[in-house]
Amino acid sequence: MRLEVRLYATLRQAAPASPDGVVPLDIPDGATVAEVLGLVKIDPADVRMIMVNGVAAELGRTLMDGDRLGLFPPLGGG
Amino acid sequence: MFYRVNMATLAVSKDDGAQYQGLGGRALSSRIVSAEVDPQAHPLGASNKLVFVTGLLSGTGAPNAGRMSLGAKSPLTGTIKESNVGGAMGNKLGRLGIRGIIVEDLPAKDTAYVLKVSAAGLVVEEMPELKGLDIYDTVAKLQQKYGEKVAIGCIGTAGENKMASACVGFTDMEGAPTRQAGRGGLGAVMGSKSVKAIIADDAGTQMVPFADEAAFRAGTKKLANALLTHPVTSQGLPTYGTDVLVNILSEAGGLPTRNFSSGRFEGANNIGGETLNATAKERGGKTGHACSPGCIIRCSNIYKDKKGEVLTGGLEYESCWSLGADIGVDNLDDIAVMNRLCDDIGVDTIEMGVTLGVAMEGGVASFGDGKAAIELIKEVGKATPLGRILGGGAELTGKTYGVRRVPTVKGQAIPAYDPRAVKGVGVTYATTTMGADHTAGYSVTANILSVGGKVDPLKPEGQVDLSRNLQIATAFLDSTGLCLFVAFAVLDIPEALDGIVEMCNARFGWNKTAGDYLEMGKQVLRDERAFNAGAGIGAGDDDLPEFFRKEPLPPHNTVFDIPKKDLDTVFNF
Ligand code: SF4
Repeated sequence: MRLEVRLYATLRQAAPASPDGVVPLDIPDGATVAEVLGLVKIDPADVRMIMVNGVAAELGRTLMDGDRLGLFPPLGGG
Repeated sequence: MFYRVNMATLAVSKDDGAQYQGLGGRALSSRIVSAEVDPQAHPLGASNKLVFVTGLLSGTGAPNAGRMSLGAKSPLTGTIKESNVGGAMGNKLGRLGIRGIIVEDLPAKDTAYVLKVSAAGLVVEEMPELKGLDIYDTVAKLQQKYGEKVAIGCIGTAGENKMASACVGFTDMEGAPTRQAGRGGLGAVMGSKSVKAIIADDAGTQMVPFADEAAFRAGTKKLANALLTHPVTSQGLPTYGTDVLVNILSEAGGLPTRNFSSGRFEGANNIGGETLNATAKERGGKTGHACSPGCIIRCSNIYKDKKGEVLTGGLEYESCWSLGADIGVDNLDDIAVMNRLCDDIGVDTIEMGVTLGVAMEGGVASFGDGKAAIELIKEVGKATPLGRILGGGAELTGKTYGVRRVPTVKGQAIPAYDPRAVKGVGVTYATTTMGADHTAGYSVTANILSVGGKVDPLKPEGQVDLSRNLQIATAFLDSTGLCLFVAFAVLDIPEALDGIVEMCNARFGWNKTAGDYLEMGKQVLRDERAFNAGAGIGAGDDDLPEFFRKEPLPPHNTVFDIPKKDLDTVFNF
C-alpha cells in the first residue's frame, strides 16, 4: 500500500533527494510507524512528534493505505 | 530605583518605589498600572500611564534574562496590558539599577521628546526633527547623536498617529530595531505622550549587586545546563527559529489559513523555518541570532533579500504566519518585506496580518496577493483613511467592511494557532487578561509539541487545567525578565525551575519557594483581572467569537467546544 511520509526539520537529512521532505513510499499491508521508520532509516529516538493524517500517533500505530505520516524531531517556538 | 516623568511639566523625579518592593517585570508593570491608572481612563488621555520596567533578574547576566516589560491601559483592548520585549534595553536598564520608568500625563506641545537615561540620571530632550520619521530612520538619527552602543526603543508614524495596533520597536545587540513590544497598541500610548524614543546608556555601570553571589552562580548553572540540554532550546530554536512551527501547525491542521477558514496551508513549506534556514544559508543571512545579551537559546535571525542586502530581522513564526498563511501568501521574500514595513512604520505584525486577512475577506484585496498586501501596509504608513482603518486593527476593519469572521478576543487579533484544533490555547485566548494572546498560557506545548506532557489538542478534556497552570507560571516567568522560551526546558527538566528560584532568591536575599513564586503569578492575574473589571471587562468577555463554535475547521472539521461555564473556572484559584 501507498503512504505519504512527510519529514520535517533535521529528519529531512534522511531523504536528501526530497528537499521538501515529502517521500511517497510503498509499504507492506499492516506496517506500523516503527516499521516505516526502519524503512526510511530514522532512529525512533530522534522522533518527538508523530502525526497520522494530522493527528498525534504512537510508534505502534498500524498504517492504512493513503495515510499521511508526519514526523518531527523535538521542536518548539512561539 | 524608579523615575517618574511628567510630560505636562517635563519634570523628572526619582524614588525608591517602596510600595513596589519585591516585584519585577509583568508583576511590577501590572501592579503600577492597577494602582495608579483609573481603569475608566481613556487609553490616550492624561490619566493613562506608560511604564517601562525591568524584571527581577534584569542586568544580572543570568541566561536569557534580557527581556523587559511595557505596561499601560491598552487602546486596542481597553484592558490592562503588559507587552514583553527582547533586545538590548532590558539588560542596560537593569545594570543602571532602574526598576521602573513611569511616564505620566500629556504634553502641552505637539513635538517629539526623547527620554534618555544613563548613570547620570534621566533627562527629557526635545528633538522635533524626529517627528514624522519611521523607526529605522529614527534609530539612525539617534545613533548618530548618542553613539551606536546605546539601546533605543521608539515609535514610528503609526505610534505618532495613535493607531491602536502601534508597537514600540527596540534595538537588538547590533543596533537594528528588530524587536518589538508588539501587542496591544502601546506605541499609540507612547505617541499620545509625544515620547518618540527612550534611550538607555549603561556606560560606567558596575555589575548589579547580589545578596549571595555564589548561590546566584549555582542557580545560573542549573538553568544554563537545562537550556543547553533540552533539544528544543539547544537545537530546534537556534537552527530553525520559531518559524519551524509553520509546518508543524499545518501538519497538525491548526495553522489558520486565509482568515481562519482552514487549518492547513498548501504553501506552508515555502514559508516555514526549514525554508527560512535554507534561505539564510544561501544568502549569507543568519539563524541562531541572539536578540538580547545573555541569550543562549538564540532563536532570532537576520534575513537578507535576493541581492544579499539585510532586509529584516527577528522574522518570527507569528509574523510569517500572519503575513503569510493567514492571507494566503506563500512567498517568504514578500513576507520579509511586509515584516520590515511593519517594524519600520511601527505596527504589530500579528495584528496587521490578521487585519489584512479580514480586509481580504471583506473584498479589499485577494487572498494570496502579496504585492497588494505590501501596498496596503504602505497605506498604514501614509495614514490615509484606509491606512488608519487597517492600523486600527482587525476588529475595526471587520466592522468597517461588514465581515462576520473576525478572529479577535477583547479587541485583539488571535495569533497563529486555530483554537478549534489547538483547544488548550483557545482557552488561553478566551480568558487571558490581555485579549487574545498565545504567550499568556502557551498550551501548544502539551497540545502539539509533546513538551510538558501530552493533552489531545482536538478534545476539550484537560484544556482548562492546562491553560490555568500555564497562565500562572507564565505570569511569574514574565516577572523575572527571563525570555518565555526558557519554559520549554522548565516544563521538562525540574532543575531549570530550581535554578530560577535560586537566582531570584540569591539576587535579593529572599528565601522563597517555587510555590511562593507561583503565588506571585496568581497575584499578577488577580491584579490584572481587578483592573479589567474596573474597566467594564469581566468574565462575560472571556470567550471566543461565535464562528469558532459554529464553523468546523478543515481538515479535522472540529469546532471549539469547551463550554463557557468551564472557561469561567480558569481563575478558580
Ligand atoms: S530565545 Fe529568542 S526571543 Fe528569547 S531572548 Fe533569545 S533570541 Fe530573544
